[in-house]
Amino acid sequence: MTRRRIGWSRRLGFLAAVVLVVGTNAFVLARVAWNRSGEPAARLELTERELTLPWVGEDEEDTGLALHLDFHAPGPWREAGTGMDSWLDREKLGALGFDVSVDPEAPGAERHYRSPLPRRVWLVLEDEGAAWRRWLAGREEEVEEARRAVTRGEKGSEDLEAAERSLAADRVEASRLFAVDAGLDRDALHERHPDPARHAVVPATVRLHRMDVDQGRGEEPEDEPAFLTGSVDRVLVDRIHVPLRHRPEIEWALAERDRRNREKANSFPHRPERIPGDPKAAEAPAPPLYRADLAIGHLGEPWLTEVERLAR
Amino acid sequence: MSPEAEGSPEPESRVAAQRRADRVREFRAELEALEREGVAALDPEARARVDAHHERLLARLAERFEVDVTEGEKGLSRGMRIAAFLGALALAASAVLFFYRIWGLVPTTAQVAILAAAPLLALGATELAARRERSGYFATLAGLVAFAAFVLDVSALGQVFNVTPSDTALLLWSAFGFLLAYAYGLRLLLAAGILAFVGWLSAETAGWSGCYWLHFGERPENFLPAGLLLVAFPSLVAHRRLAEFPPLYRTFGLLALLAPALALANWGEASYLPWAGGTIEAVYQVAGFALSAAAIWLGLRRRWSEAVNTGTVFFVVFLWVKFVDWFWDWMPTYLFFLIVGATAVAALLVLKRLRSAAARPGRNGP
Repeated sequence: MTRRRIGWSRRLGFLAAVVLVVGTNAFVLARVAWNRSGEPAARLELTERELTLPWVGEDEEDTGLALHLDFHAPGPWREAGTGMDSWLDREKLGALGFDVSVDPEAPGAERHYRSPLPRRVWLVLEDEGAAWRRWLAGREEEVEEARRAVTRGEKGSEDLEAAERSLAADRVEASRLFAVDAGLDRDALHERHPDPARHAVVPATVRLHRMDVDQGRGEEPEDEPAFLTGSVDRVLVDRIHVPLRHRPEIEWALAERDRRNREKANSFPHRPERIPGDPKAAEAPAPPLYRADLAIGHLGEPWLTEVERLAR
Repeated sequence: MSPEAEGSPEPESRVAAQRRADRVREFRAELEALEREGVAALDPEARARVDAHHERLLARLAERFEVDVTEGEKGLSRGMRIAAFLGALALAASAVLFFYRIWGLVPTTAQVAILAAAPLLALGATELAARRERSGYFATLAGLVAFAAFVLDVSALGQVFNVTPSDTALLLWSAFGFLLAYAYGLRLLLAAGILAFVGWLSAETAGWSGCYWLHFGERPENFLPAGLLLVAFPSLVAHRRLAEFPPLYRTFGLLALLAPALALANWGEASYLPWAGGTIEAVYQVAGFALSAAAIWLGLRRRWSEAVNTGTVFFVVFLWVKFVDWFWDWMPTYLFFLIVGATAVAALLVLKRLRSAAARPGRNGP
């Protein structure tokens, strides 16, 4: 190849690389603009309970802030009666594209269902709806059962106190967001769950599990037949970036959380320098520090529209 | 005869030019040795013509390609290559860490502007470096920084706007790496492009089976199509100008074939095949040995040293893994390592015999 052709080749490569960079950025921005255009597909009013602060506070090396989407989802280990009935049963898993043709009890089923890989689906998240109320009722029933066990002399009063404290914390601190449905057709899910203020349809992955007698649940695991169930592997966008304009509220919340954690640590009996006051007050459930409005766009991709401090 | 031999082709790449310069140096050294030993000597006129021709040739090659003419220069060049690579890594890390240090403190428009501008500036630096300095060290450095900046551009934009992760990003990074590699003849950029391509094609292969692309690593067989394509590619597309590229394709291709075979030879549960785990492991053990041996054989036939080396390494690793399976639990440790060492010696003897057979008269040696 002559020098002239090598020069042209290099120039062409350079220009193509420039076009690739510019084109990629333009495409991503256009895609984002389309996702956020018009009326959002859903708009949820969430709080710190559902959009949690990062575990680690502010970091000099990474000044970006993101809130983590926290929600309840069915998993293979949930027991019936806790209010978290698994709707990810065999029929649903088949509708999501998993090969569930082999009976889980059949010979060779263990090999057929060996290490199945997750599949991408559309997941319906419900905010403070029927699933939340069922879950809370299940937790209240657990406390009642603990109370009855204390009456029967099967458990101590400290067990009941711990259960009551846990329930009190869940009422105030637990996420009210629940995964309630999944499918491959996003429009069909919107039709089944039409309230955009309560339901959001987001991209997620679901995994299939074959539970057998060795992983049985209940009191008589040997009597339980093998069955298929599913779990939500992850929501594909579960970290929501905090833009600069909303940063002051989140920074304030991080500082408040740190102060709260220091109070809790100081209230421990073994610490020599305890702050005065009722130690149990430091253990009281902490209401959420902020409200965060989350919009979901045409592509199922979320963004924060509003963050507001909540009065203490 | 003219000092410029008619029809002698001008080298088209720095690697080809360096090989020519090395041959000239070795020819001169061998000629001096023959003269000292009284075996043969050129007549003074011929010797003067050859020396003059070589001086002009080396000057032309040094001027056009910045080749190393002496052993000392070659050693320095090796050091410069290492320095360029380490410098590129450090600068790329610095650019990425700088962005993450400031991105939370600037508005979204500034974030987008910085992310888009960084790879473009680095591209400009690459072009400038390639024009000013023909050896390619500074172009490699700037090119790797440009690649890192483009990776940061795409991934950080995704984080800022909460975009759903997609394997298309891998394809874009691969295309960028290939463009820089072929435009400037940069092997490190080719390696980066190949790695991103392997990731993309493996993710796509996983998608064909219905699984979400991010989990492509859970099934090592997803890497096999990419491996086959990379091994075959240099045979399908000639690389006259960039003769140093095909060995990279073959090396990465063999790695993408043999590494999954090694994984599945020990972890059959991760296979797509609907057989018992033990059966799958046996199949991949046999396949691994066969493929390694085939790579060695083909490498010797075609004079592809990278195929011989890669095949040899994996053949030995497959063998040692079998030894651990067979002997580790019951054999005294010293005896185990004695056997491992003995197989290494046996491998050396076999390869030596193969090399001697390849170098027999009437055959072209490597």
